[in-house]
Amino acid sequence: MAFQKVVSRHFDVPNAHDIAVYESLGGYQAARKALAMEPGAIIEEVKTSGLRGRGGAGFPAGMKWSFIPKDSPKPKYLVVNSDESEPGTFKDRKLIECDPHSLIEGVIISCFAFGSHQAYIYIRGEFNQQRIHLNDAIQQAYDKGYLGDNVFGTGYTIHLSTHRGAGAYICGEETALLESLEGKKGQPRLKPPFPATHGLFQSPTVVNNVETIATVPWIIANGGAAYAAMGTEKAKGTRLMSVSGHINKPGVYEIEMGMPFKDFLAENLGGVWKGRTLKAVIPGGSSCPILTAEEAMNLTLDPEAIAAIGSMAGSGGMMVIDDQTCMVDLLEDLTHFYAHESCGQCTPCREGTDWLYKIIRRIESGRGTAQDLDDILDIADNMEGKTICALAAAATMPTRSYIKKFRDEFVAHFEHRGCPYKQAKVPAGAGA
Amino acid sequence: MLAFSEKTEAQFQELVARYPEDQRQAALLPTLWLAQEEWGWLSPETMRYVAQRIGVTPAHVLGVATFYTMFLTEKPGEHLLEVCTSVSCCMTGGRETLRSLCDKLGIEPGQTTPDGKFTVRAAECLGSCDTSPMMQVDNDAYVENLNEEKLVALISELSDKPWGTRTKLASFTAAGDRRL
Ligand SMILES: Cc1cc2nc3c(=O)[nH]c(=O)nc-3n(C[C@H](O)[C@H](O)[C@H](O)COP(=O)(O)O)c2cc1C
Ligand code: SF4
Ligand code: FES
Repeated sequence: MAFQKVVSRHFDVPNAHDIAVYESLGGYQAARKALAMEPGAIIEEVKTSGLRGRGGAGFPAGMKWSFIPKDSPKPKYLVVNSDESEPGTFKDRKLIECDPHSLIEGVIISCFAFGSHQAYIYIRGEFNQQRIHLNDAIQQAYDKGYLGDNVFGTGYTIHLSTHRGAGAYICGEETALLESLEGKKGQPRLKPPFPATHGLFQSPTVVNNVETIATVPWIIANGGAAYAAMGTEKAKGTRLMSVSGHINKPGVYEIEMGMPFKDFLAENLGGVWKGRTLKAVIPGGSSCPILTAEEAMNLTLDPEAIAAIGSMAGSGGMMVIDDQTCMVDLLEDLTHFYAHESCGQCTPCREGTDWLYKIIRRIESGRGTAQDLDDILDIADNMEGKTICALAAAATMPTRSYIKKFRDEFVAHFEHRGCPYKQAKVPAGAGA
Repeated sequence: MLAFSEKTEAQFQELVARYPEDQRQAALLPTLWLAQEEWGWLSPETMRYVAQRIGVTPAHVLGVATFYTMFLTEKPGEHLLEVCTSVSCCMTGGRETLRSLCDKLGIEPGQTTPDGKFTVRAAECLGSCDTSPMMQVDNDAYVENLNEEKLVALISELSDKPWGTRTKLASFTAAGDRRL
């Protein structure tokens, strides 16, 4: 099937955030349809669609829902992950701003599918205006009887509220998010047990990304097969890309899985800014290994193709980098982020992220030696696979890739005893 | 003894009702937000009050409040300006913007102006990378696509606004910036 917009279909419609406009576009018909279906049939439809999580890990959504035990006496929860803090990612924000009702409708369908009566949307503290905006939309849905104790007159109960975070990247990790929702520090839990059995308040819980849930109404309205007809053999459908950096037209774009990067850059993004040359691309958020221009230009944008060259599709947060950029400087900024955001529970991560940052800062300032590169790789070896959550690897994997692919730039810093590109006026993260 | 204003108390009651009765602690972060919006920051006294209202120890509240960067456990200036300097913004002028803002106010990142008006901090990615350089004002409004002119206008606009005026930044929600 030819590509058509799914989650971004209302982005250009004025006032689609208003329930009257949303309904005039066919909104809430999918929820009505779903509530007349067998819950199991909804899960099957989502499985057929091939929809995978859009938060970063790409886990099949339908399968995740089917892990929720049917016979548990405990309440079941849906928690929507709207923490969106991975540098380079801003699609969920756009979705909430432009089309909050598709998220709410997705919540209704998902809750009904796996038997939940209570959902929370955990939204990062910085998105305060978006939270207020979303609360208004939720109130509209309550007023219409689409949420509450008698959803669409069916007698089914669904309550939904937002929950405001307070500034911590780690709360995007699903178990840290649950801890935070429970009123604690956002420190990830050891898994197993998994949220499907021991999630929020130790009850069965599904955690899904905003975009994942907002895709569900379209799938129910048009059928899982229609969604699966788009994309590649393995990666079905479409996805949102947040694109920023050195390009002419930054923003949020919906693309069909498997679109060639080359076309995306030329047709959608208007090419590299200031007439400069492409140097590198971060394909899916700051945690993803970096790609050289050559790798990127030969790439198709789907998780399998990106994994095949050693990186990740991640959260779809693409950053485009031009030829005037110092990669050591960029890595210094990146490692500062992870050092700042480590929750501090695991020694290899707490200490390791800080060491990585300090060593790279030293190299950038011209006081590094070749030994430093060996030390970095050694530290990375001692972090990966030795921690509770994936944040440690989110710092080491890109670090390795910068050194591997742009080693000559590190060497140039040793030789010049400083940064050949030096334009930066403030050290990364000063005062943070 | 502290107490929430009537309006905040009503919000607090509504908030607590969102969570199961035996899970009152889940209301902690939202309640800290209410307290911070009521009193401007989280003083030790405020944190003790929140602890008592939620039914947890003051030590727990202190641990939680200091874990999250948006909770202010030290008294900030009347206006908090946070410029993003994460990866994408770092490529498109975030650090230069932070420098320029600091120079205009005569302070360094992390400091408060001597008149207690402004606190400036560097922030990690604020989810607005496509409108870089950008900053968040008072934990609320985003001011995007910053340039020298906008910085000057922002400082002058905020100078007249005391703390607590919900930042409706007239000059910055105009066309060109993302609207809600
Ligand atoms: C350090 C870290 C940060 C994460 N941040 C986010 C985030 O901001 N938003 C998100 O949806 N998922 C994030 N994730 C992934 C979540 O743990 C989880 O996989 C996801 O929310 C599941 O939803 P999905 O299956 O719909 O993608 C993060 C994971 C890690 C390890
Ligand atoms: S890996 Fe880092 S962020 Fe994750 S739990 Fe351990 S210390 Fe915390
Ligand atoms: S890197 Fe600055 S808003 Fe994302």
